[in-house]
Amino acid sequence: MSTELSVKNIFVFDANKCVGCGACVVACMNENGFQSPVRWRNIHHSNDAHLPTLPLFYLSLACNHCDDAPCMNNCPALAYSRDESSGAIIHDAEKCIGCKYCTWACPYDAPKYNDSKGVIEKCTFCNQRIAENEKPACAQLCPVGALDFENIEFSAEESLKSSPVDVAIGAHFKRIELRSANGPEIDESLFEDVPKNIPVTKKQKINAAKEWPLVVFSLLISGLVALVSVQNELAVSVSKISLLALGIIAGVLSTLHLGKKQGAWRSVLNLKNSWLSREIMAFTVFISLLAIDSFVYPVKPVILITVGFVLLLSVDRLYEIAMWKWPFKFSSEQTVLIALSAIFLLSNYVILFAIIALIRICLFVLQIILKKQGIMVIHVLRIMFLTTAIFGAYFSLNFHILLQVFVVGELLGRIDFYNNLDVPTPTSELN
Amino acid sequence: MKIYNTACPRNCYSTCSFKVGVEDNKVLSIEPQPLNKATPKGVCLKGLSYVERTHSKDRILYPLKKVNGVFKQISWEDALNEIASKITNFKKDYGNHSILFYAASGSSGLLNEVSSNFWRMIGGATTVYGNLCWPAGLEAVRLTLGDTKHNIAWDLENAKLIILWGKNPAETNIQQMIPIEKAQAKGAKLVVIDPRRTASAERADLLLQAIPGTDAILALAIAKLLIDNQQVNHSFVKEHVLGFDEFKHSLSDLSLEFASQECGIPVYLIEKLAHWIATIRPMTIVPGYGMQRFSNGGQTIRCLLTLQILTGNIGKSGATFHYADIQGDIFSSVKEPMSYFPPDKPTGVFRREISTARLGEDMMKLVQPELKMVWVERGNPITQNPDSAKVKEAFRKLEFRVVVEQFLTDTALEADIVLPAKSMFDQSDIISSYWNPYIQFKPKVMDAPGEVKPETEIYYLLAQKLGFDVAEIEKYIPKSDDESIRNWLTEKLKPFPEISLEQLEQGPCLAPGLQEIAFDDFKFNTPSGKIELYSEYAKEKWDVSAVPSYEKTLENKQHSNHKIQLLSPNTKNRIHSQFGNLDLIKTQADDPFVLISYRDAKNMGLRNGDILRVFNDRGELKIKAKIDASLRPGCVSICNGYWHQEGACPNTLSKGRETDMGYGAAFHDCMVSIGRIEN
Repeated sequence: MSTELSVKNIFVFDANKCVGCGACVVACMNENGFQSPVRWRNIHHSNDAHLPTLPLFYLSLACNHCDDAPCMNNCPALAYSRDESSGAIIHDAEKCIGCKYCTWACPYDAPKYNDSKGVIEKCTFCNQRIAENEKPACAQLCPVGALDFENIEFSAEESLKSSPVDVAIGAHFKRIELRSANGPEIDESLFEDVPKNIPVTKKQKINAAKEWPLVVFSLLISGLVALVSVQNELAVSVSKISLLALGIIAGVLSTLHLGKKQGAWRSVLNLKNSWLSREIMAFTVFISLLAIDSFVYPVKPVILITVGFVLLLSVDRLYEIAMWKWPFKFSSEQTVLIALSAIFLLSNYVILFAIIALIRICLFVLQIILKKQGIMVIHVLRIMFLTTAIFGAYFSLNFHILLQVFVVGELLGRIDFYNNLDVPTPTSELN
Repeated sequence: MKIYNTACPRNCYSTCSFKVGVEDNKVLSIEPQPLNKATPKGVCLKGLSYVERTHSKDRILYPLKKVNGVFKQISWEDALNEIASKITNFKKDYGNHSILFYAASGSSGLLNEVSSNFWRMIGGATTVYGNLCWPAGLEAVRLTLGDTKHNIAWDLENAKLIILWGKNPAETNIQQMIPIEKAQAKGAKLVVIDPRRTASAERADLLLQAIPGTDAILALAIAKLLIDNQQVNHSFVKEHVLGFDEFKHSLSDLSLEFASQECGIPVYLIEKLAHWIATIRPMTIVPGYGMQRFSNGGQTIRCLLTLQILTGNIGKSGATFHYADIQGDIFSSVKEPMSYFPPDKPTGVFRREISTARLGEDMMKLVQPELKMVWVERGNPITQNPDSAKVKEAFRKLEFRVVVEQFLTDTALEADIVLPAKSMFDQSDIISSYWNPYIQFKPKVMDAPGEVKPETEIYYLLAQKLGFDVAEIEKYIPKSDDESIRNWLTEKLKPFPEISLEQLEQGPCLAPGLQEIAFDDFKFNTPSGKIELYSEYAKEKWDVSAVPSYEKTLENKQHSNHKIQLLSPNTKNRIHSQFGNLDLIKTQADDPFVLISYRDAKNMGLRNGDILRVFNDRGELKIKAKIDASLRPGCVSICNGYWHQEGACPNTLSKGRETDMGYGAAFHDCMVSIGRIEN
């Protein structure tokens, strides 16, 4: 890592000069090949609705080649590396499995998922040009000199001050601030009927509809771990084979969202840094143990349960990078909590179930209040189902109905969880 | 990879210098040329897209002939034989004037004159007078100051007050934003006058969103305030200006309240701008070319000029009327705008009776002889001339149409024969600019792809087909081999010992005789030798008031049912109708859209992305609406340059009409109605 380097290659962007002309984006494509539909460099701007009382300014961004690059740290397949001579963070499409986890990790929206190729691609800092002592194409060809490239001393403090997103990861990006952050004086009487603020419909990078295999996967494994934990106390016996089958279905589902499924094996290469790698490893061990338990010789339940909870913990940890704006990096819909609730419900510990459920409701309400986000109907339904489950358990409702109420409630909760995951994008920060 | 110094020949202020890298007959890279002090950081996104444009999959590489409505590739031999036989027959049956030779501003260069040489050589043709672009303003400046020139482009950074009056350099002259930003960094104030809030206006101190076509009355109101408040630079006026008293007198009845109502700017903001103009020096007004494309366009520019004159902001660093600088045009014997005027005494060779502004209408009106054939090069009149429906009708009435083009434009689609046109890299030429003060060489850097031939070669071969012998032809048309073209260009440079082709190959050269601070000798080439606020010539030649005055635009005078003003400004993504078809550009441009104000959209329940019907008596468009909450209500805006093939060409709605002076086209004088399309 070149964190210690005092002299760095950095992009320098002057907000006073940029008029959003798009030359940097075209220059990038001339140098690095045509990019469609996603482009490595993008021009973001404030004031999407062009409200007359708000200023509009531009921000041209590609990859900032951060010192502490979250894309590289979190990539389960070790597809990222740093080019030591230029400092560029380089992505290797051959190694990429198309899991898109880096797009959650990067606050600058630099890794771009290419749907047709099933892999990520991104800005290379034009390191082939840097090697020839030339600036990256975008910086070289900005016709007004708003985007530039320098090899200078650049401290972490300066980097944080310049960062379009409030996060200290050592972005190699220096922003020269606007001299005046106001728009021009205008005749406001022309625009009396224009609202002072139009809420911008945020384009969520992650949502439940898009990530439905993950929604189902996380619920299935929560249920699976719960079943494994209570299998001896259940009224009806659940065969080991069917548990294994459930696990395999979950596994297959989870690979559905990969762009390059044949590369799935690479996903465990970054155990050192990536919670995604750890999760996949834990899942593999868990399923293997279930298989051994089914076909070879019995595995001690305590081992199965321990591995199961390690798996759930790593699932929950891996989502932390998508909770940038959350008041606390903890959710009422964590898989660990789902599994605990299920365990107490299945083993009929009504009081424990009710306590966990009440804690979860409180957490959930707190989240809603603090985050002010999400769909109210789903919020209300989610609380209703969980509350109903508490009463149902207390009054010994028909077990099947109770189970259904619980499962639907958890499904709603998990959908809500995915819909509320947030990864900052430069555009959302500007608006 | 071989690197060449070159320059962009499009009809654009910037006329950027750049370096082009070529390998295996392919344009691979475009890099900045810092030697050009006006464009030191390189070209715009369109210039960058030459990498694609030169080798585009859509480029026409062979002669095409329309057979049963479908274009088929044919040989040059067949194409030229057919054209030659048509020309021969039309000449014989109807005379040379039955052929219209139409060339526009698609690509500049000295070799363009070879085209008219050809038509002259074969006995003449019908051509057009006037110009679509800027002549009303040119004439206004010429009438007032004697010459159209301004301070060198980069001197703008020395201004303390910059008024972008109807100009949006961020999209149309992007390198002008460099000196503007430098001036602002040094504390200058920036004012923008535009019904839209453009990218150029976002960093401005003041934005006045005047009603389109009323800029003259706004300027006059400010002029009156300067006079009433004793803020006129009287010593300057006394020494250098003719007609101050007449001008002052013409304003005696003008009330600020009336002006405010007319232009839609509140009195306090007019007073604020007047105060800045009176007190902040030096000041530069940078007018755009849109305002002068109204029926009152020339007089409007004269009105704007009064503010520059009354405050004595002429002939000094940072103080200039930044309309156009044609000091770089050292080669023309008759300079613009006079070169656009129809001749007082026709020679009989060229018939110049069609107004560019009324192309369709006038083409159909011509008799003795009627038009039978058109030859179009460097132009796309069906998209770019006003009142497209009429232009198309006129084209369809002809018997034979030849279009020289790189792409299948709206005009090329109407052709019987399309000849593949050269790109800027296929032939050497020399160009100048109307904004930066350089003469530039644009070398041949590759062999033309496919069977593309430059016009010089097309005409040379065609002349042979028409039976001319080589000796005769070469009096008018050079051979197209590299050496002959070089010799021809060298010959053109002979009168200018300061510059040689070898020098030009090294980079741009300042125009010989350049006055860096325009009029710093205070010599004005007007009939009186002074700055003419009062112009007898204006009255005689153009039948307008001798002093700058405000007239309502024609379409506003007519009180038609159409109440919405259509704007058709230029976008950064196109030069007129060029470039929009390229994939690189499409990545930066939305699909064609019409901008509508928040209020107008709300009143009809229109949402972003709904289809808006924009119509008047001349045509109708149905385009995706984009709500711009900062657009002045009462205006809609459709970018100039959209093709009919994209369903959004604003000339569907414009009227063929001349400006008040200079024989320009007043197509911005265009009222429309808007309606929602019910689903």
